[in-house]
This record gives sequence, structure tokens and C-alpha cells, in this order.
Amino acid sequence: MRWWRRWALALLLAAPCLPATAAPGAPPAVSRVVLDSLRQLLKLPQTDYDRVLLLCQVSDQLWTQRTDSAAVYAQRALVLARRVGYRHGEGEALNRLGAALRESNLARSLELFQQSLHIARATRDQALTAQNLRSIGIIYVYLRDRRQALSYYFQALKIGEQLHDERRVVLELSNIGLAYDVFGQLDSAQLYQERALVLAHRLHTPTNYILYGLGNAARRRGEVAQARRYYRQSIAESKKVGHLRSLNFAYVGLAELYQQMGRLDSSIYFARLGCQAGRTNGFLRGVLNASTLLTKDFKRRGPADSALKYQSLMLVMKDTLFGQEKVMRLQNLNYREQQRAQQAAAAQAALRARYRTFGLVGGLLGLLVLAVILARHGSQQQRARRALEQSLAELKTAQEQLVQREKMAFLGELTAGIAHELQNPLNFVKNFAEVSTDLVEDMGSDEPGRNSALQGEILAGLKQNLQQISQHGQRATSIIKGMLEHSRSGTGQRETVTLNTLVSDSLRLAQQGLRTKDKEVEVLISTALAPGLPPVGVVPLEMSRVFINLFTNAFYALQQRQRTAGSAYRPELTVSTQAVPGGVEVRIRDNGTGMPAEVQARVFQPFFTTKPVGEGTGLGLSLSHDIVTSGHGGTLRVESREGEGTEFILSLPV
Amino acid sequence: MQILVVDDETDVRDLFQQRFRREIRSGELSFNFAFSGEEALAYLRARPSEVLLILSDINMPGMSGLELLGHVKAEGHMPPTTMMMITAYGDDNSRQEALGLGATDFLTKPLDFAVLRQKLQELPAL
Repeated sequence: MRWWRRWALALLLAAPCLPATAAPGAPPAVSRVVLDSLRQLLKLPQTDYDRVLLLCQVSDQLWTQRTDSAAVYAQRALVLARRVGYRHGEGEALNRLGAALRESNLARSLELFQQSLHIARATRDQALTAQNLRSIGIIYVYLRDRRQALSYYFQALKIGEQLHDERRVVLELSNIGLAYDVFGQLDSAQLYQERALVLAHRLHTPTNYILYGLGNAARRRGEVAQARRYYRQSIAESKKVGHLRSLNFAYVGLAELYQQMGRLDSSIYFARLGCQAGRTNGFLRGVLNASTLLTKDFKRRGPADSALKYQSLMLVMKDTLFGQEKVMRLQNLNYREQQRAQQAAAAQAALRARYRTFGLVGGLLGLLVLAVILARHGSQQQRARRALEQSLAELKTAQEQLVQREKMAFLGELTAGIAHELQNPLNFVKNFAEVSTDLVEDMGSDEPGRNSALQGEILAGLKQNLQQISQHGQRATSIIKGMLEHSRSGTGQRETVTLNTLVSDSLRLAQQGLRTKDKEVEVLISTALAPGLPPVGVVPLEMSRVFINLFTNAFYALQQRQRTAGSAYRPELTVSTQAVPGGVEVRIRDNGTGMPAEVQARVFQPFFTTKPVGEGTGLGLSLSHDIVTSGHGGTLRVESREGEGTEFILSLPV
Repeated sequence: MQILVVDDETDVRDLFQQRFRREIRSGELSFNFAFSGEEALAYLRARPSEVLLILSDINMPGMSGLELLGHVKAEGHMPPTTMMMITAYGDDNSRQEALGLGATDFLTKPLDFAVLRQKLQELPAL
């Protein structure tokens, strides 16, 4: 139970004069006991089926405390379930994994829930179906899609009622209440939470979320004392059951209440506790809510630097969360608009068919009615088109922002390489300047005319040094010029270049980028660059970017494999160029981790990445592919075997 | 003392000759230069037992400084030579590998000539 100790420590540091009775860092005794006993059970011999379900239960318990640990157990359950072909267990594990990833990777999480839902429906597993409907509903609440969110929640509720599973019904009612709260329908929020509360009391099930929802409803109605009571009850219960998420919610609710009342010190106090709880759990959204409040509080009360600190935390959270959400929301909207446009087209076709029938009848009245319908339909279509255009524009902006981010990441790689390149010439300049000073001093100390041969030697040395200084200064200048060219955006001009030079320059830059990042990796690099290749017309900046990207990816794959492979493993990178009919070809092969077929199929898709969140934008290879194909009329292919390595084959027409 | 400097940057020749101008003039030190590992090895094979100290860069195209070190130590007919390795990356791996292969010392770039001069003076007179 390392987490609560750390938490308690943080509290002590943050509030050294806290009265002992109010210390909220007490370990959640209940869940710890449950978790320990589950872990004991895992050690006993059992069937694989039982083990899958047990792992899922451990994941459930951990989810309220540390989502990353929950993901680990869910993954283990999934692997085992798939190995023994246990469909129900696979569905359960997929749902757990989705829940654990909901903060870090919303799109992946939605995909996992849908897979799980598919299995649940195929195996007619009603409980799991309801579970996934709820999980997907939560994602739509995140995306602020009211219609979809409530539709999933109510489907889940319906199944719960059909199954007479009242514990489930409590959760669904409370979730619906919270959704209404988010969408500003206070009466409905209140109503559903009250229904949930009555039922939960009868069943003696936890009410931590319900109390928070009731607290929110009371706060929004301005019933301060009532709201405070609910929040405090929710906090007490969350602590008892060790539920850090609802604890975060309740703390933030209470802090918001104090902010409304203008009691900023109390607001800061509770928002900090909320922030801690969210951080420990890995609940980014909760951290965001708490840090937003803290930023406001500190802006009003001071000190300003604390406001800044929480503002930057807030921005980091926003960047992580809303970058992915915006793209998802826009893609979704785009998809829906396309559907709507298709429906409109189908409707129009149907109308035309009817028009012919009416024409046969020849009723003038019919024609008139049609005219009216068509006119209305036309304006509807126009509205749909306007909405579509707007969403497309927004999607474009979001994509441009991501492309910009990818560019900055690339520039980072490049800068590391270039900073290193600059060291050498600067060193020479410094050294030659220093020895020249020595020479001049020698000259001054000699008696005039005593040794004219020595004088001549010194003068020749000085001249040579000055030439060296000038040369190395020039070398530094051209390196910096190269860097500036890389950072310049916009369309470059095609130039005739020697492919081999471009490839080896890019390789050197990527290598230096690697060395500054990871000193421990020794990669054996072999190059086989065919002499006498025909010159190619390319935009040098863009192509070197593609090569650096491919090399950097290869180094990453080698690093990843070296982390797990034994000491016999030697990371190797092979680069070759050759002439092929109609063009030239570059092959970049590594013996790194390699990719399974499904990853290979998606590797050039925008936003697809296998790197952990925050490490890759998922745009590197997609941009490279664009540059090679649409920019230069070439091809970029990948061949890979999992566990053996990957080869990228790039060809350019001459 | 005969010193062989191995580095792919050709300008190090001028630099060393200037930095150690006095020692060269007094005959205390004598420098030769090779601009790749292969060149250095050929030089050493042609003049066995002349060179007493090798000062080599590690990162060079073709044969690396560490490979050169391996060859020098493996070819038993050559006298034991003092080898100092130079690298821009002061990483532990290379240091361990160099010392494991029998290097006498390990220097990082940018080279501090005052330190190098000190080290040369402290070498046992051979």
C-alpha cells in the first residue's frame, strides 16, 4: 500500500498544521482487505477460467486506486482468456482494460468496449452487455454528446431492470443522474439520484457517487448547508471503501462550493486534496477539474505563482485529454454528417420516384405539394451542408495543430544532432585562438632579430591558425544554416541531389539524436550504398525528414527489443541503396521488435501509434508516406515479422 | 617519445603541432597522425616498436577506436603500447569497454590540453 503512504506524506508536507482527527490519509481498510484476499486466492491452484475472472476482480479493486495497475491485471486476464479460448472471460477482460485506459487513450478505450460489447451480444451475456453500454455511455459523457450518452445509459438501465439486478440498477440510475448534472438538467439529476439513493439504502450498497450527485444538485440550487453535508458524507464513504475517484469528485465539489461562497482558503484546501486523490489514481479528468479550481482560487487570492503552477498542470491535463477528444468528436461528427447526407440523397431518390407516379396521375395539387416538400428539403440539405462544412473546417484546424506538434518533435530530434555537430568546429575555433595567443606572447618575449627563422615560423603558424579559425567558423555557420532550413515550413523547391549523400547525412543526424537520448545503445550499422546511382530530383529537406523519421523509428524498435532480449542480442541496422528499373530504391532494415500484421496494416494511418501516450503523435510515418507518395511520386512499403525485425522500402522515380 | 594520434578530423594535426610546439622543437615529444583506424594499424605494423603512445578517437567511420585497440592488444609481436581513448560521449559503456580491452586512460572531448600535457608528463619515461 505504497500509495496511501505517499499521499499521507504529501498531505503532511502541504498542511503541516492539520489537526490529527481530520487527517484524510487513512488507508481504505475495506478495499485493502478485499484486494489482499483476492491476491491470496490468485496464489492457490485453480482452473484457467476461474483465474481469468479472479484477475478481472483484482483489476476492479485496483481501478478505484491506481488505474495503471488495474490495466496490468486486465491485460493478464485478456491474454489468458484468449489463450484458453474463454469467450466470456475475454469480454470481461476487454471491458476492464477499456476502463483502465479511459483516461490515457479514449479512442482505444472505446474500441475495447465495442469489442467487449460484440462478444457479450454474440454470447447473449446480458450483464456484460449492460456493463459495456454503461462504459460506452461514460465515453459519450466525456465527449459531451448528450443524446448518445443518455441512449446508452438508458439501454443499460433497461437490461438491469429486465434482469432484476437491483445493484446494477442503482449504478445506472446514479450514472444517469450524473449525466443530467453534466448536461445542466438539474431536476432530472436530482430525481435519478434520489431514486438511486432509496434503492441503495434498501440494498445496503455504497452511496459514494450518489451522495456526490446529490451534493452537486443542492449546490446548484444554492442550498449550501445541504450540499456541504452530502459532500462530506460522500468523502467519508469514499475513504471507507477506498474509492479515490469518487473521493476526487466529492473534494472538488466541496471546493467548488467554498469557492462560490468566497471562502477561498477552504476551497484551496479541499481542491488540493482532490488533486492528490486524482493524481494517485491516475484520474486525469479529476486532476484537471481540481487544478482548474485551484488556478481560479489562486488568481483571486494569490500568490500568483501558485496560480501559474496549477495553470500549467491544468494545461498539461487539457492537452492530454482534449487533444484526443477533439479529434474523436470531430471524426464522429463528420461520420454522422456523411450518414445524414447519404440519407438525404436516398430520400431525394425516393421523392423522385414518387414524383413520376404523381406525374402519371397528373394532379396539379400533387405537384404543388411536391414543390413545397422539395423546397423544404432543399433548405434542410443546405443546413446539413453548412454543419458539415463547419465540422470539416474544425477538423482541419485540429489536424494542423497536430501536424505542427509533430514538426516540433522532429525539430527536437534534429536539434540534438546539430548541437553535437556544432561542438567540433567551435572547439577548433577556441583551440586555435588559444595557441595563437601563445604564439604572439612568444614573439613578444623574444629579443628582436635574435632568431629570424623562429619569427618566420611563428608568423606562418599564426597565418595558418587564422585560416583554421575562419574555416571552422564557416563550418559552424553552414550547420546553423542547415538547421534553419529544416525549421522553415512551407513548400521547398525540388533540387537534383545525390541520394547516397542525403541518406548518409540523415543517418548521421539520427544517430547523434539517438546518442544524446540513450547512451547505452550500441547499434551495429552497416551501409551498402550503390555507387553511380542516377541523380534524383527531390525536395531535400522533406526527404531528409523522411529518412530521419525512418532511422529514428528503427532505433526505437532496436531499443525496445534490447530492453527485453538477452545479452546475446546485437542491435543491427542495415541501410542500402540501389538502382531499380525506372528509379532508385532505399532499404532500411532493423532487427528490432518487428510488427504483427495488424500493426503493419495501420502503420501509415494518421494518428496511429504504438508508442506510449505522449511519446508519439502517430503522424511521423503517415507524413513520411505522404511526402514520398504524393510529394515525390514514389512508394513507401513495409515488410516486417514480429520478433525478427522490420524493413522499410522506399523507392523514388528518376 | 613517439605519439600516434588517430582521429578522422584532419585538422587535429595542426592543432596538436601548435599545442605542443615547444615539446616538439625540444625533441621531447614527436607526433605522427593517422586519420582512420585502418591507417593507424598499417602505420603500426610498418614500424613495430617505434610508437610508445597511441591517442585515439573512438567514433570514426570504418574501424572504430575500440576495434583498433583490440587489434593492437591482440597482435602480440608489438611491444606493449600505452593507449588513451578519446570520445565525445562520456558514457560508462564505452569507458568500461575501453578499459576492459586494456586502454590505459579515457579522455572526453573537447580535449583539455592542459590535462593531456599533465598526463603525458606523468607517464613513466619509456
